[in-house]
Parts: sequence; structure tokens; C-alpha cells
Amino acid sequence: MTEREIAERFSNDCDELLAQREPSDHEGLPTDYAATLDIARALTKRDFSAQSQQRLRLRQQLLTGALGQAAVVSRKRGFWNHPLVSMPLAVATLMLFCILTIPSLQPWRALTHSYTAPVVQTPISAAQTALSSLSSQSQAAPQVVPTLAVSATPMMPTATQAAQMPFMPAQLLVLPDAP
Amino acid sequence: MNGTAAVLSNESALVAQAVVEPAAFAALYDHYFPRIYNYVRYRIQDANLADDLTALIFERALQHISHYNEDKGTFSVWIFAIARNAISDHLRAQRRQRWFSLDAIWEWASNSPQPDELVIKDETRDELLEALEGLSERERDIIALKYGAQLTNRRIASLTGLSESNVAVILYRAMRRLRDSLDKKGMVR
Repeated sequence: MTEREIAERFSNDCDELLAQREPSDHEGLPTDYAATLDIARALTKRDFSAQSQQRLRLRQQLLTGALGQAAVVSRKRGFWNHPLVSMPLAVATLMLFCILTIPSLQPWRALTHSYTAPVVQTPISAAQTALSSLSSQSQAAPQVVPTLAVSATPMMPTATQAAQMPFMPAQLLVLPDAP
Repeated sequence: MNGTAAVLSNESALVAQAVVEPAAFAALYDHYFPRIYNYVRYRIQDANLADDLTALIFERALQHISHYNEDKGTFSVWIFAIARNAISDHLRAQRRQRWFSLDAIWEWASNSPQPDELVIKDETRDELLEALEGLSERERDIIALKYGAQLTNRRIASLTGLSESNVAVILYRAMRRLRDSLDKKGMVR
């Protein structure tokens, strides 16, 4: 007998045991067949339902219809409770909240509103302003090119100042001392 | 428990009545409770959890009884499909939860059972059920469907999607493994 045939025979014998009938003798079957069938016999006789603590309580709920009413209520709300409905609904609400919140955020305001930077007067820009105002005033007057002694980089140390600085690197560009 | 696998003579009428009158479901409940509970116990060791899952299975069955279609299969196959799904959901959730629970850390730290576990284990101790833990999920499911739910191989095949012949082979192999396991514990004559 092949394993498949033995297995099918075993299933038939188990069905006999479940129907409270004793299977026929085990001639021509493996030696361990009877021992395996004994385990099956033990399993068919095992009933755990007596250990249940909730059997009567649950039955009472069914008889009173409490469970049924709960089922009806949940069936009414079933559509909204379904994950395929509730999840997209939750995601849509979250997205709506984000869309409404984004305009109040600072980077968004900076992008969408016109931004005018504050005017900072540096010595160079002050000189440029002065030059442009002078040139506009002297349209009729003889052309005088004003020479303003404005250092291009007022923060740059002169050679004397640099010499006094012990940690000033030698290769750093310094302006020649003013005459 | 024997003899409970017999089909109710007026099962179709009871199902139709239970759709409109939940109290009529009680007859189906009385008939199927031992088989459902036993099926759950074969899959879940904890008796309290088995109680909760059994209640959940009957609650789901009552909620969806209007969706039951007699042409698609018998009521027993339908209700055991609900039972299988409920247990699969539970086991999946349990596996996920184990990764994030503090109990898992405790288990890693100590292999010895905790005192409360020892008490619970003694109360519901069953060597056969303990031996079943050594089998794979599929083998346990087939054994539970055969001996707990008392289904024929044909109905097990329609539930699991396997062929009848495969169900027989898996069952036989699983039972042999179970016998070997019990033999090692000195529980086989």
C-alpha cells in the first residue's frame, strides 16, 4: 500500500470513530498504524466544551436578542465602520486639515506674499546714493565729477594697523597707508 | 462529543428563521457550540481566550447570517470558515503584538515561565493539546477540523482549498508526528 492509500484508509477509520463505530481490523497496514489510530480515538473522545465559562451567558444573550440587536446596530453602522470606508475618510480629513493649515505656515507666506527686503545703508551704497543725487542735481551745472574718498572696504585694515596685529596673516591683502 | 457532527434535520429552516428572529439562532448555537469550541481549543491553548473567540465567532455568524447562501455550501462549512478566519486574525494580531510587547522582552530575558503562567497552565493542562503545539499551523488546523469540528475530508478540502487526498495525507502525517511526540513523553502504550 502506498502512503496515500494508507492515509485515505486512516481518514475513513477516523470517520468511523467519529460516528461511534469501530473500524475494521488493520491487516496489511504498517505496525504503527494501530498506535496512530489510538491517538485518533483519544482525540475523538476529548470534549473541551464543558470547560467553557461563557456558554450559558452567550446563549442567554442570543435568546434575549441582546446580541442580535447589537448586530443590527453594527449592521446599520457597518458601512462607516468598514476599513475601506473609514480609512480613506480619516486620510481625507487629515489632508483637509493640512491644506487649511499650510497657508498659515511661514515658508508658504514667504513664497506667496510680496516680500520687500529692508534697505541697509552701507558706506558703498551711501556713496552711490550721493553720487546719483549729485549727478541729477548737476544736469544744468557744469559737469563736475566729485571725488569722494570712500574706502571700498572700510573694514579692511591698513598696513600699519595690520602690522600692529600680531595674528594677522602676512598674505592677507591690506590697503596701503593713506598719505 | 460523538454524534454531534450529524446535520440538523431542519437546519435550512432554522437559518432562514434566524435571519429575521435572532432568538431562533439559539438552536443552531446549541448544535454547533461544542464543535466550534473544540475546534478553537485545538487551535488556541488558553481556555479563556477560546471562550472569547467562540463568542466572537457566533456573534459574527449572527451578524452575517443573512449573507449565507445555501447553494454555495453547507452551513457547517460556512460557520467553520468564520471560525478559521477569526482564529487566523487572532494569531496574526498576536504575532504582530509579540514584536512590540514588554512580554516579549521578558520572554527573551527569562525562559522560565512566570508564576501566573504556571497556575494557568496547571488549571487547563492537557497533554494532547500541548503535544499539538509541536505541529505546524496547517497540521493543527487539519487535526482541529477533523477531530474538533468533526468534518469529513471533503468538507475540510472545501474549506482549506486542498484536495481530499491531500487532506488525508496531511492528516495521517500529522497524526504520526503527534504519536511520535507523545511516544517521546512516554504517553503511548
